[in-house]
Amino acid sequence: MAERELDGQSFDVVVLGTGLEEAIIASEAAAGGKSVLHIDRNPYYGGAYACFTLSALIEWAVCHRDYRQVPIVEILVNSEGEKQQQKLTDQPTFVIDKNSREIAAAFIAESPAASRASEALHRLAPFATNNTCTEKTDSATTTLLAFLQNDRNYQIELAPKVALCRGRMIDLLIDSGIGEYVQFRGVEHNYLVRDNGVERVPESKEDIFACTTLSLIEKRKLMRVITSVADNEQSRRIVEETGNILFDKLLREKFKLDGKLLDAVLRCVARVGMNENVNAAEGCERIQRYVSSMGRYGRMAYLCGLYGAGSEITQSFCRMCAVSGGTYILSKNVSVQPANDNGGFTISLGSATVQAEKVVMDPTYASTVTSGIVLSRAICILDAPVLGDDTTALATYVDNGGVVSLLYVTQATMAVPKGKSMLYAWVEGGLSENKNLLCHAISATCGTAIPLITLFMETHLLKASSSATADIYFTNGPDATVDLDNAAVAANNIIELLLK
Amino acid sequence: MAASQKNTSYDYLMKLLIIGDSGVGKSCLLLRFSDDQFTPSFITTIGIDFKIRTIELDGKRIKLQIWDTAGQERFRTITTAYYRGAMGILLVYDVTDERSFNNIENWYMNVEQHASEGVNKILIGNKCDVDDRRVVTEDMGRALADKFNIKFKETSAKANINVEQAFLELASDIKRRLLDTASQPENATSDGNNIDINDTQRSTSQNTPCC
Amino acid sequence: MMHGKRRVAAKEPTQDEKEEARQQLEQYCALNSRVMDLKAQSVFTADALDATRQLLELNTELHTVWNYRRTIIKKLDAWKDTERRQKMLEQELEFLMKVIRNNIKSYWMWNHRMWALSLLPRATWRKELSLVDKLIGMDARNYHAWDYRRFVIARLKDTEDSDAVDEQEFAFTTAQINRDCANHSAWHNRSKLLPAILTRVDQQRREEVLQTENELIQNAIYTDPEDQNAWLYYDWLLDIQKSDEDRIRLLHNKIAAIRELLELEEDGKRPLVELVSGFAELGRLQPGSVTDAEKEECMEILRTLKGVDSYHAGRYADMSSTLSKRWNVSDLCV
Repeated sequence: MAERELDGQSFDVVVLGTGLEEAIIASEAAAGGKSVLHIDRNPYYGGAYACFTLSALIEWAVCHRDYRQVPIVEILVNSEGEKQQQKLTDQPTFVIDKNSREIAAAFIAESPAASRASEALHRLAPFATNNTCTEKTDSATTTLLAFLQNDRNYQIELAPKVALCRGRMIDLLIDSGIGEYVQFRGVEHNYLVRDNGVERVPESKEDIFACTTLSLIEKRKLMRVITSVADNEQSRRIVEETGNILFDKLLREKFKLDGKLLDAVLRCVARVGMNENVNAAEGCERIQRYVSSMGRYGRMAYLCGLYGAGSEITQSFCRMCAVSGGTYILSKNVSVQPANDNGGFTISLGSATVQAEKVVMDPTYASTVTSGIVLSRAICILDAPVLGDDTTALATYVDNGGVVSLLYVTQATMAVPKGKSMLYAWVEGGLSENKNLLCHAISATCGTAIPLITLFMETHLLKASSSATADIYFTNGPDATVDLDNAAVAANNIIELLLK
Repeated sequence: MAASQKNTSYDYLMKLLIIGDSGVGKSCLLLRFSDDQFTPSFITTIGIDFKIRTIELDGKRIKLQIWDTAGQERFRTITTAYYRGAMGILLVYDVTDERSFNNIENWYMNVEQHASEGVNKILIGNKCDVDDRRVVTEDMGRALADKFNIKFKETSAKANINVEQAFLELASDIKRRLLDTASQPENATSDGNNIDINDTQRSTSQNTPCC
Repeated sequence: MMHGKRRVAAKEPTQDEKEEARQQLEQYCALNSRVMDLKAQSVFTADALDATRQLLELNTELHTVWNYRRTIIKKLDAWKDTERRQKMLEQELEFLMKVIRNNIKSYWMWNHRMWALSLLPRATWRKELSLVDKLIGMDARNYHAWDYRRFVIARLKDTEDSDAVDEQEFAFTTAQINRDCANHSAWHNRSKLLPAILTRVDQQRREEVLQTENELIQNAIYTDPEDQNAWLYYDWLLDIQKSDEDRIRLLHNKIAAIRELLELEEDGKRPLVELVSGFAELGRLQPGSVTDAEKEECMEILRTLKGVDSYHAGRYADMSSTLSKRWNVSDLCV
C-alpha cells in the first residue's frame, strides 16, 4: 500500500472527511504553516457535499453511502421515457434500502467501474415498487440504462447550494485566492411557486416598476419593504419601535403584506422556513444581506458554481491545501486513538500509523453519533428547460402547508446537457412525511415538462455524541439553508481555535 | 475559450494540465517552459499551482495557463475539479521508470472520464537525456501514443530538449480545434457570462452613476 | 459618482506606483510643452497631429489642443480630397472611441466628435446611434451621452423618415424608464418627443396615448413617490393639454391617485405637497370646485410639513400664505 511511506510521520493537523468545512479548515491550516494530512474513507471528495454523474450516484447509493447519514434512497423513473408525462406517484420506483442494497452491492463488487451502475440496476429491478406489471419496470430499467450510457454531462450534487454575492463564503474565496479555481454564473431569477403557477419575485426597484402582475398598491408596499427594511438605520428604528416581534408579524402588521407578497418577502427573499421562528431584527438583516448582494457582480444576489457550488469549492480548497503542502489520502478507513503521553493522537490508516497533534473530523468519523437535523431531498432530471435554458434560478414552493427550497440548474453551469434541466428540492423533516410535498413542489415548478428521473433521499446530519475532547474538533454538515455561508462561519470558528 | 475582456494583453486563454506519476518531472517541465529554469532538487511538488506564459501563434497572442498537480497525484487523489475546463493535457512519464510508463494507461482513463470530450492530449517521455538508465525506448512511447491516437515527444527538462516544442505543438493543436473550426461554435464557448469573483468591476454598469 | 453609495477610501500608493506616477507626469509635461511649441510655431503637419493625439489620450480636457488639432486636420493635404477626408475623419472617430473610454464626460471630446461627424462626407448616423445605445447601456444616466443622442437623432431625421425616428426614440425612453424610473434624461427626452407624436394622431389615439402616459406616471409614483421625475412629468403633461377642461380632468385623476397612495402611507412628503398644489391648480382653473374642507385640509398639510421638514419650511410657509389669501382661509404656518 502506497500510504506506507507515511508510516511514522507526525502532522500538526489531521483532518478526517473532505466535506466543505473540513476542506476550508485543511486549506487554511496548511496556509497558516501547519503540516496537514487530509483523509477521506470514500474514493471521492466532498463527503456530504459530493457531486456525481448519475451512474456514480447510483454506485454511491449502493456501495458508499453511509447508512446513518442517508437511510433512504429511492429512484423514480418515467417509464414512458420522453414520450409522455407520468405522475411521480405512479412511476416505477427503485428502492435502495438495506436489503436490496446488500444484494446489489455483492454482485457489483467484481464489476468493472464502467458497468457497476447498470449492473446494480439489474439487481435492483426486482425490488422496484409501483411495478403493477413487469413491463413497466422493464421499460423503466431501459430508460435508466439509456441514460447511464451518456451520463457524464450530468453533475448531481448531494447538497446543492449557492453562494450569496456579499456573503462570508465569497469573501473567504477571494481572501484565500480560490477565485482563480472556481467559475461562477449568476443565479438570475428568484421564483415563488404555488400549485397554480410560478411567478418571478421582483427584487429591485427596476423589477417592481416593470412588473405587470402587481397592482400599484402592491408595488408601493414592496417598495416600502425594500427601502426601509433594507436600510440598516431605518430597520433598526423599526425593530426598536415594534419591540422585535416575529418578522412574519412585522411584515403583516407594519407593512400590510399578505398573500403572495408576504410569501415573496418572507419565504423567497428572507428564506424563512415553515417552522422557523425568525424575529424582526434577524429578518431585516436577511433582507439587507440579500439586497446588498445585488449589484456586487451584476443584478443577482446569488452565484452558482460551474459544475456545482459546494462540491467544486470543496475540491478547490483541497487543491489549495495541497499547493500549500497538505497530503491527501482517499479510500482509507481510519481510527483515532489518544496517544499515551501528554496529548496528541495516534491515527492508523491501513498499513501506516501517523501521529497528530490535533484532529478535525466530520462527525461521521466520531466513535458515537446521534442524529441531528433531518432533511428530505429530491433531485429531478427534466426533459426540457422549464425556467429558461441558459440560466440558474432559485425558487420557493409555498403551498399545501409547506415551504420547499428549490434550485433550478441548466447547461449554464454545466449541470446538465443542452436541452435538459434539473431541479433540486429540499425541506426539513423525514421523507415519509414530506415526499408528497416534494412531489407537489416539483410538479408545480416543472409544469408540462417531463420528470425523467427523480431521486428522493432522506439525509441526517450526524452529531458527535461524545463531548469534544481537547484538540478534537467536529465540523457540521450541509444544513437546510440555501447558501454556503454557515459552512464558512463554522469552519472559521474551528480555524481560529486551531491556529490560536 | 475565453477572449479576454478586461485585459487586452492577449487574445485567447488556454488552460493546460500536466499529469503523470510522482517524480516524472512534471513541475520541472512546467518551470522550464514558463521560467526557463531547472531545479533538480524537486522531490515532491509543493507550492506550484499554475504558471502562465503568453505565446504567439499565427499572429494571435495566446495566454497559456498551465496547471500542476500540486502533489495530489502522489496517492492518486487528484480532484475531478482539476480537469474542469482543460483544453489540453500533457501525459508525462519518465523514460527511466517503467512503472510511470505503465501507469499512463490509468491516467489516460482518468482524463477520458473527467476531462471534457475532445480535449487535446500529448504523451511526453521525460528525462530523455539520461541514456544509461533508460528503460522505456522511444519506440515504446510512440507505440503507446499511436494506440491512443495522440501526439508524442521525448523531452528533457534538465537539458532543455523539446520542452518548448511539446507545449507549442499542444497549443497549436488546441487552436486548430477550437479557433480555426468556426463551424463548431459550441466548442469555442464564450465564457462571457461567467463571473470572476475577484472582478467586481462588472457591478459598476449596474449601479447607476450620473453626472 | 453613484447615488447612495459611500466612496471607498483610496489605497495608499506603493513606492513603485509612486515612481511610476512620477515618470508619467514627467512624460506628460514634456509632451505638453512640445505641443505648445509646435502650436506657437504654427506647425500643421502629420507629426504635429500625432503629438496632439498622444497628449489628448493622456488628458481630454485641453480644449486648446483640440482646437489646434482641428486646425491641423483642415490644413493637411488630405482634407482637399473627399475620399481621403472621409478616411481621415473615420480614423478620427476611431481615435475618439478610444478617448471616450478614458473619460466619457469630457465636453471637448464630445464637441470634437460632433465636429468630425458633421464634416464627414458620408456620415453614418445609424452606426453612431448604436454607439450611443452602448454608452447609455453602460451608464443610463449619463447626461453627455443623452445630449449627444439628441444631436445624432436630429441628424438622423434629416436622412430618414422623421416620424418613424421619433416613434423609435419614444420607445427607447420607455425602455430606459422601465430600467430606471428615476432616469431624468429619459423622462426629459420623452417630454420632448410626446408633443410631436400627439399632433400626428387622431382624437381617439390621443386619448390612448395620454392614458398610457398617465399609467406610466402612476406606476413611477407608486414605485418611488419621493422621486421628482414623474411628478415633474405630471406637471408638464398638464401644460400640454389642449383645454382647461382636459386639465381639470387630469387634476382630478392626480388627486384621486394621491389620495389612494396616502391611504397606504399618510406621511409621504412629496405626495402631500403634490396634493396641495393639485388643489391649488384646480381652484385656479375652476374657482369654487375646491370645497372648504379640502382647503382646510391643505392648510393643515402645509402646517404639518413645515414642522417635519424644516429644510423646506420657507417653501411651505410661502405656499400657505399665498393660498390663505386666495382662498380666504387662515394661514396655519404663521
